[in-house]
Amino acid sequence: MGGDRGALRALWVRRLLIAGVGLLLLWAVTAHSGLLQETLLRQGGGATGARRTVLRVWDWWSPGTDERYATYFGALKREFEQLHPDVEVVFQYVPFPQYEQKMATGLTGSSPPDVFQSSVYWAEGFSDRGMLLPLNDFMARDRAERERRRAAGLPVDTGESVDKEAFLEAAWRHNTKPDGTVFGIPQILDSNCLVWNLELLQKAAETDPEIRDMFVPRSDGSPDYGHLRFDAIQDWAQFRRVVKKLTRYDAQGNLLMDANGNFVQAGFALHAHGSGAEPFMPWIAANGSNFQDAAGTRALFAEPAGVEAVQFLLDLYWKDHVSPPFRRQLSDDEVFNQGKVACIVTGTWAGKYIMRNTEGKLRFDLTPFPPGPHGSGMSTLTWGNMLVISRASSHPDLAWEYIKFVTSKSGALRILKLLDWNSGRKDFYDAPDWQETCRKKPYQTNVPAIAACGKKLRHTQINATNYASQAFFETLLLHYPEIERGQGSFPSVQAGLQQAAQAVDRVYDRYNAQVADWHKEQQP
Amino acid sequence: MSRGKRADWTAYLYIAPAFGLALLFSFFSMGVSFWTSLHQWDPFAGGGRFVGLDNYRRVLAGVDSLFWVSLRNTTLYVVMVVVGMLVTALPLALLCRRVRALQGVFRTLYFLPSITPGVVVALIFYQIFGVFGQPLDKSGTALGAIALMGLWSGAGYNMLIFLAGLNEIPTDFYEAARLDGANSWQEFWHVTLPMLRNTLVFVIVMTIIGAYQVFTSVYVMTQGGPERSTQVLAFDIFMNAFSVAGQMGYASAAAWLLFLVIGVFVAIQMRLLRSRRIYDE
Repeated sequence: MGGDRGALRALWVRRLLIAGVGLLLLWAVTAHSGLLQETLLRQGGGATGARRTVLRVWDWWSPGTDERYATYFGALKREFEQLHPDVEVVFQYVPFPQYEQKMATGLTGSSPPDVFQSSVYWAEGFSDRGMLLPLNDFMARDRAERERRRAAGLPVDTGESVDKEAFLEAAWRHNTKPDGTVFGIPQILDSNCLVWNLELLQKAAETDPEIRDMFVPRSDGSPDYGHLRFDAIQDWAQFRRVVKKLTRYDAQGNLLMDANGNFVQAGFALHAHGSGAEPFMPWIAANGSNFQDAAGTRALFAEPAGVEAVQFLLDLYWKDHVSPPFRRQLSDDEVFNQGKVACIVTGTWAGKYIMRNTEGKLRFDLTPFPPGPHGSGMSTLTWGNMLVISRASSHPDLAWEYIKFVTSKSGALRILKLLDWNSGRKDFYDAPDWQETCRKKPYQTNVPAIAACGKKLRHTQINATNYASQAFFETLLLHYPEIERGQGSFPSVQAGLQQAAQAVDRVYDRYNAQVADWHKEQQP
Repeated sequence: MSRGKRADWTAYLYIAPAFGLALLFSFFSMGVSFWTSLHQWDPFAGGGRFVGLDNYRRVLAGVDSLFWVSLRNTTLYVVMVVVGMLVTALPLALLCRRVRALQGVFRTLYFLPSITPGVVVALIFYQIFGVFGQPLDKSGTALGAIALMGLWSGAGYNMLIFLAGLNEIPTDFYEAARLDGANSWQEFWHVTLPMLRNTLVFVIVMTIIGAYQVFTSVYVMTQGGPERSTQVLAFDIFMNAFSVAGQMGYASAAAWLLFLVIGVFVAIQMRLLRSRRIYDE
């Protein structure tokens, strides 16, 4: 009997212990994720104890991607709520691939965001659908207030100004419709660029004057091996020459492989799988054309400048053997981070990730794209993702205050400090913080010039056009030798591109018909 | 009579909550989906223009339609997974039944893949395939590699179903067979397999239904490539629904056609393997 009681007690002690550990875990998870705090705030148990206005903010930047985002959003919430004690900012993180889908659900449901970050890929489409609030009135109101202060002899903080004049031209063009309607304020500035491995370049520069000339000269004429010239590569012929010099070949002229079947060193890396037209787009821009026309009605990549760009990349891979074998990868930088590739195409956003993933051990620098035979001057594609206000927002004035808080000079410097993203603001690049960033991270130095030489990224309905054209591009890249021998799926590269362009054109036709429907619905 | 009626009502009351939920979340949603398939639908506006059966025509005969290539690939995937399932899950169940010690451990280990999230499994296999010949990079092997992953994920679950079916077979039949001098193969062929017929039908039907809806592995690992070799129906539906403006109606029509395809295959399956009374209880 006593033994039974003892066993029963032991069982209960065990159950209580398990329950205790479970509760502890639950508390740890909810407290860490901020759920407890949010619940308390919703119940009026926040700092003031009063009912607070909730400002809903959506973003694909997420604490789940990188812990620095947790710090950033924490600071943003804290500082904004200090300025507006009656406001509670609630962030919702939506993964980039599902952004449009979730937005549709949020808008048709009853929980649309007040303000959200929009990629340039979607912003104009959202605006066409009538989902975004035009920002012209807010800007005009602020402009009038600045004028009033100036007239009254009061100080005006230009760093707080969020208007066209405050931003670089490259940043302020994806957010404006042809009729002048502004539907977003750029939050960051990004461009495609070439990323170069400085270790491999420096090694080659010891014996090669052409590669040595790619580096910025010091005052004594010696190369600064920590920094590349903005125009380090002058044209495609030089690019081809340089990446060939940076490739290790075997006796047959193929990419040299080690005993384990891994390549030893490649001058350039090109991807074929699942990238759609993205590997070609900045090269097409550098050759004087674009992926599509300005109106988003017709693909341009099958025209001579586009064909020439695609042919150039095909030759680099199949004839010059400068690239590692095509391989599906999780990220564009994966192969570069191994330190065996001299150059890849990526974007100005990639530096922070290369630093993080190589623990700062890989030295690299960024340059724009050299002009092709039909191009002129250094070039790339530039864009600025933006903050927008949902037309369904219950607090548009508050949403505008939030946008100004984030995209002002101080907001831009907060993003730089905590997240390493660059801004589209002019005054951002005059700030001491930026100078300090360039000193610590020399790869940032060329960024403003790269962005400034960039053409407007035009890619209406990117997911749809990629979906329609991806198989054509994959076939061209993977089976070029067969195409060249006349045994491929297409009689020529141009014919393949034309078929891809037709598929893309049909996407534009459908989309533009849909846009016309939306506009009709919006007419009173 | 009245007592029987009362008993009926009680039964209806018991199933009412589940039926209500199914009505709301399954049948109502299906109705909305069918309604959507008859419209040029814009999810952002939550409405659209009536186009009748035009979406179905476009899915079946439109110049941009990837329905037929998706159907071919999906059917190929289904065949690979169903055959693979039969040659792995059933032998695993037979082996597991013979194991005297640690049977629970084996059952748990084989079942683990079934409860692992699909995205996690896909990312792990993505890395594994990267080391072993990169089959995902080649048009000829990518679909097979994805089927292999599907097989790995589902084999443990089906093994448990087979194991349950095997345990239901009365031991008398095996004893009688042994008395008649049957060897192991004859026991399997003349006793186990016929007695497992219902379980087999269930496993095959469920595998077909599941395999026709393959999506996560394709979405995570290949996005339908290379060169559309892993383009499957669910992926095509998803891409049209959420990547192309105003194509929700088209995607809904494709979803209904997928429903029809699955229905046809399952009906054929049920017809071919229809249960026959084998013994009297």
